[in-house]
Amino acid sequence: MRKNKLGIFFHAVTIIGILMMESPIILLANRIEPKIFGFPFLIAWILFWWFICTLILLIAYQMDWGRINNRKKEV
Amino acid sequence: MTAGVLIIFLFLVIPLIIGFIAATKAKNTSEDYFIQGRGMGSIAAFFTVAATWWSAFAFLGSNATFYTQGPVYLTAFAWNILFGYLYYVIGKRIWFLGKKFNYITPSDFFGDYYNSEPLRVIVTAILTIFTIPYLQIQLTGGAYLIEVASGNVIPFWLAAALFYIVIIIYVWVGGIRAVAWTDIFYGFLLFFGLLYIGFYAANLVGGTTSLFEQMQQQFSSHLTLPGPEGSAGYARWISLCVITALGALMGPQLWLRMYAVKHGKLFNLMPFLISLLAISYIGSVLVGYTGVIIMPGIENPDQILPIIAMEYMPFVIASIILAGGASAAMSTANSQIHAVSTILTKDYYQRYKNPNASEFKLTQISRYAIVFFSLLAYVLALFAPGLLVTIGLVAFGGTAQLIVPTVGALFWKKSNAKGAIVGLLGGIGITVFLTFVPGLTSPLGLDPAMWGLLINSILFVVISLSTASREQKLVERFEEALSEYQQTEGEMEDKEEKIIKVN
Repeated sequence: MRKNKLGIFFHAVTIIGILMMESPIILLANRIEPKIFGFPFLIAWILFWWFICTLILLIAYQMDWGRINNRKKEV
Repeated sequence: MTAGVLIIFLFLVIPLIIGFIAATKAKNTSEDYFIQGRGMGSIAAFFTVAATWWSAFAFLGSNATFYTQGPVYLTAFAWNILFGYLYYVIGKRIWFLGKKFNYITPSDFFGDYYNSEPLRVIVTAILTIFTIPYLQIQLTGGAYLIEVASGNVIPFWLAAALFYIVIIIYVWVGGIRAVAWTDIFYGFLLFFGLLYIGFYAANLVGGTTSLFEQMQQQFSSHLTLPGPEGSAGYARWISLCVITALGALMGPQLWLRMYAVKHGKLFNLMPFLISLLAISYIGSVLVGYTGVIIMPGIENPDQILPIIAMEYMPFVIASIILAGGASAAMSTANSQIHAVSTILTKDYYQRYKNPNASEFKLTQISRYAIVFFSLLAYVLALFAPGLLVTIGLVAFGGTAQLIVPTVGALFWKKSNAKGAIVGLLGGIGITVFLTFVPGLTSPLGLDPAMWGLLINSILFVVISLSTASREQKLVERFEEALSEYQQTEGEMEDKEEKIIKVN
């Protein structure tokens, strides 16, 4: 059961990450200042959410959707 | 100049050698030629998907877009994630069904699920027609890079011809296995080439921090939407992301790679790997913006990367980088040629002309088709030029429409053939209408294919609900298969060899 919830969590975070980059929310980040590590804010925003999504996809692979046998054992 | 030609020569010969080695592993069956007997290993599968996904569109078009339209191409970071995610959610199911029901082409899947011959024909036509323009941009981009990398010793027409002769030879002898193996070589060149030239270019103006400082002072409109021309705002941002991810995912070349994979585990890891690869777009950001500062006003923006490379880098390094760019084009083109020829052979020739064709005959027909499509793309590249990203979007817009009946088949029991047919015709119709009728502009600035997807989805749902459902036997057959997928996915990871194919 816990694994199922974890699976949903990974899907949800991935979708939220995509929405942060692709929904109209992006227009709030559509600015140059403040710069972050020298990058304009818009680029930094995209890199931040890209990093979050990539990390989540790696964790998701390692913890849940890559090891479905674990789910079966728990059930 | 001689060094440049030598590099090009090596660049053309190495894939040939790899292709011939791959051919020695081939078995004498058409299934092996088309989808490697569903036995493609994870490393080859990952690289061939990644390299096929990357194209001249990404290598040249990305820099050009930052150079002329500002930051809209940053949406590529999201489309990589979306593509990888869908490759897992949708691709793995297609892989499972392909293995279970022995599908080889996308039309096999649609024809079987919806039990409709007209739908099968429509899908085949969409895949063939809309893949050719995308093939053309690979050839145009790749040939241009070879021309520049050779120091203009090899003219465009000859570069394009060499480009295709090499591809034809190794696809001819090795089928999809040769394509996948050469894609490993291309993938490496491409990834590191783009990143390297990006940071090299930024250093020309004092590094990344200095680059963005100068951009802010002199060209600040390049750093925010809608860019310096005012035309690349949110509508283009979302259109590029959705249409590119869906259009590529539904392209026949990626579809065959779903069937070809041996182990389902690869699909679990693919979202992370494809997402990770997006970091190479940083190279495009840096090249495009550096170009704005040091080389304003270039006539053809698609040429910004090759021009910076040849102007500012040592010639040998520049040639290697440009060969990496040509890799992007070749790795996509080889897969497309192979995929379209597979469709022609299986979906037209075998299905309607010669159902009892021998394995040898099928492979032969596919090889002739490879030559035919290569010639067609060659003629298009010579006589129908255009901006790479623009042509690419038209091609993706067509194949992207297939996502609607695909999602319907995988997740909605009530979907039926009439809904799929009317939806596809409506979606493609709107896309073509808004794209090609002179004087018409797409509402809200969205890409025509976005409206196509909307109309397609509405028609698909409404018609499916208002017409008779699919035969009960058919519904049950797929319901069982998909619920087997849900239940046994983990088991399959370990015991995939035991899957019983239902012919």
